[in-house]
Amino acid sequence: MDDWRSAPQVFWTFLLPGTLWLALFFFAPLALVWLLSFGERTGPATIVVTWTLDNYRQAVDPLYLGLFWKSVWIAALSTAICVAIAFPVAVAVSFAEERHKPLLLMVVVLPFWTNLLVRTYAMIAVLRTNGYLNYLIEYLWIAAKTVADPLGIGSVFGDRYRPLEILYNDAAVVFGIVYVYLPFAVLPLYATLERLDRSLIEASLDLGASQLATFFRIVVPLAQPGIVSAVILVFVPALGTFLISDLLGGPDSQLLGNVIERQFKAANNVPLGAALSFLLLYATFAALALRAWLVGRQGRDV
Amino acid sequence: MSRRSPPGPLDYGRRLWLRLWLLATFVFLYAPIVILVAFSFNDSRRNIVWQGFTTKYYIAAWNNASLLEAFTNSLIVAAVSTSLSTVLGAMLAVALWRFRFPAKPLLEGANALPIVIPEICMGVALLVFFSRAGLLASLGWPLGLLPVILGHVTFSFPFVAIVVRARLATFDRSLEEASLDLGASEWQTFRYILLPWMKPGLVAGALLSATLSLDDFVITFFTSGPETLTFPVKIYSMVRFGATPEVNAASTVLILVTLIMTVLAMRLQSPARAETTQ
Amino acid sequence: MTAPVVRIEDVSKRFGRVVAVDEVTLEIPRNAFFALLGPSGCGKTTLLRMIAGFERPTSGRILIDGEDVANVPPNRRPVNMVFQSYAVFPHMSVRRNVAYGLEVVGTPKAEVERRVAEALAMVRLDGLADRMPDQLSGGQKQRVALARALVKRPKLLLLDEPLSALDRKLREEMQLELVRLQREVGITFVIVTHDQDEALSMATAVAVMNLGRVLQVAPPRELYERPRTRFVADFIGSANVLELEAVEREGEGWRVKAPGFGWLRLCTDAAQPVAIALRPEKIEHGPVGARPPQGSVAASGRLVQSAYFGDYSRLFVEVGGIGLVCYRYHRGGSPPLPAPGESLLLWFRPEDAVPLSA
Repeated sequence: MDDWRSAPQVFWTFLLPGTLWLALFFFAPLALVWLLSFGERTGPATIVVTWTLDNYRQAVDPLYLGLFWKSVWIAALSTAICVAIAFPVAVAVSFAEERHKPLLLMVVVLPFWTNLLVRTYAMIAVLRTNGYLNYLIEYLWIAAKTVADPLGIGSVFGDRYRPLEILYNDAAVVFGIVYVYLPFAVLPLYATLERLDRSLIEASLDLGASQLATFFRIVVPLAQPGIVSAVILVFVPALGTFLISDLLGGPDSQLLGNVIERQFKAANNVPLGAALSFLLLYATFAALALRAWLVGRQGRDV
Repeated sequence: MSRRSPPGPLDYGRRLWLRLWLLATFVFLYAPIVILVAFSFNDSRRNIVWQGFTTKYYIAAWNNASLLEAFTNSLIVAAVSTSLSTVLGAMLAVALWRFRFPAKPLLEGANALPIVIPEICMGVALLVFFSRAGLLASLGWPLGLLPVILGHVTFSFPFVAIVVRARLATFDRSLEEASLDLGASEWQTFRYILLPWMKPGLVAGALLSATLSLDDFVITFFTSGPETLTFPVKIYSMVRFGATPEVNAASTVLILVTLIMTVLAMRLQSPARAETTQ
Repeated sequence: MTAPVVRIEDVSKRFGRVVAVDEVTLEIPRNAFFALLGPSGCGKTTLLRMIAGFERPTSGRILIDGEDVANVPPNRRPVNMVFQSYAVFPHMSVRRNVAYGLEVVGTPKAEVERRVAEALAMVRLDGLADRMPDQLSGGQKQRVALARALVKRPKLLLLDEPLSALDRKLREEMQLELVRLQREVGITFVIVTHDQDEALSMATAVAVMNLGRVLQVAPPRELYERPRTRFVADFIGSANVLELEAVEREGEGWRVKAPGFGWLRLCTDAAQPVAIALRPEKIEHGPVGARPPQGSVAASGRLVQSAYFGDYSRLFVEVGGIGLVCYRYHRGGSPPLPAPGESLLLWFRPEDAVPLSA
């Protein structure tokens, strides 16, 4: 690597365009939002930055704070489900035959490369009252009833299938988040498991530990960096989601993202929206700092 | 043919329950998309039970002027933002790869930020910024797409930089020295030695950036003005009024476009391929 | 003679179309320091991993103490392994590593503590019990791996190329240490190595493997002096292999014709030889016209080249159209080396010629 002073002209030519772009179209807009979060509305479209803390005060009042915790809770639950589903998937892929791995990985990530809106839309068709999940359950219900009727216990199934209300509630939002962000959880887990020295697992088995004991005492602790990355990669976007909760959630499954969106678009309370989105940003930074700390600690221990 | 050995203790890939788990996950990931695609060909508006094959919704989607305009606009956005982010990302990658300078870790961190922060934060920031800058309201087509394009470049060029830098990391710098030693100028060395080496990374980065652009909803949603039609926003309003087979048809086309680009990008990025390309 | 601790019966292992281990039958005697020796890819590690239970044979049986272990998973086998990479758990201290194998089977705490301390003392790591693996040298990690396996008191300790990652000086030290440990604990050791010096200097018995087959099992000395095949003769030490031009039965032994040297008698009850091996140090040489001792077989040759190795030189001599290697030791008062191109006389005693049957 060269020192930048060895060819300053080349250095600035290559460095400046991207850096300036980032400054102008990323940091400047963020700074603007940050300023506006200390502003007051003086007219329908005019905001004066008065360094008031009212917006933050309003953002942490019970109404919005409750919403914040609900968003955290839904994001955390979805993240936990994602990691729980993804771990065996990552194990299966990283222990698959070498020649099958690229294909399996591609199959895992391909859905991620489909438009977020399209995938959320696909979820609606699956989950709605006359959707495919209900269709499947009804099919199972009829099959069960056909078996149960001659036995005289058919009555427990009722005489008619009533479709379940799966869509438009918090469960549907969690379902959607898991569906959309599952590939995010698989990749980092796969990457750490792939690097994991197989002989460590063999050594544990060799020393008398069962497969299960080996999993919890050796594999999970050593896969910790991957688990942390998977958690962050799912949790951060899940915390800020607004499309999934907007399309799949019910009237009371509004999350932080929906409220922020409303402040900027419909409600036009930009200062409050700015304060809320900065609270979301700070939460993200906290999660990232936590990861850096965990990975750093792991690095020292190992 | 040889007999297969019984599975060893670490042959987790041959455990039945893990295979079933993998299969179930794949069904979970793909069934909704497959159903969506399948029922874009279904001859029924309620699109729940298969009624017969038809392409009439594709024709309907094609004849839906605003849907077509939205689709075209999104392709324009993808094309322009891809060109811009490939150039910006590649230049930044070269700078970060080649030079040592103060505050480099800081710049690297700043470069990663658009990737890690919640999209909605970036979306509202761009919304406020462009409305303040007066860009959003006044400009008609095609310049109404400008904020969308600027937004897309902002989140995709850091990805390009990462991909290109990974490619550069495998470059043997003695090739540069050999070129200079043989009398080539700095510029000729860049043009004839480094740039060809970067090519697979550039192509992969460009495809990645195009895919990101077509996949995006959030940034597009916040940067599109009320007058600007983009595909995700158009679909969004259609979905809010209820799912229609035309949406399925249009989505299928979008899935197909991104699918092709993703497969291409992955092919180019696989190490075996990268070795042979240059 | 006690029963062998391990019996391997007609064991084969295929990976797809590759045959890694090909119908191996082998007995490992109790309390032996047994070496599996062969070039890389000969199947020795696969054989070891099948004994440990990490690979399952495609066909054949493995018996440990008379019990067929086909369906016994590695964690239930009375066998422990020292891995080539040591496989010391990076997230556990030395003490926790050594205690691991006892803790997972629910050994009482006090006993764990006592046995861990014993094991650490045995490998001379007492002072480092609370270190983390990344604070240890390669040699120390290896001792952790040894202590961790020995603390389980297995019937069999398997060592997979245990010394290959150490530098030469440390390697020689560990060789002695392993021999000492084996005598001290009275556990059968099975070591896999590609290094013949390692196998010959440590083991009480060596099995030489090539291309998935066991070619010969013998104590080190016998292996060197009486190799049975061209491969063993060539792999252990260096050897001149002379293809025989003619073979005739004569009484109990064979009358054979070696290129250049002519007819000689081999007293062997073995199968019909196809070649003979001559160790370079068993070939004497002198100027043309020298008188070889009574009973030896002689031929004249031409020096092609010599290479100087300090205490001795290697002479490359052409005899009857084939190349032979012999040694000239530089003792006080030795005559000067002949120059390349000069003629000289070579001879050896027929009993030093080793008949090879394959």
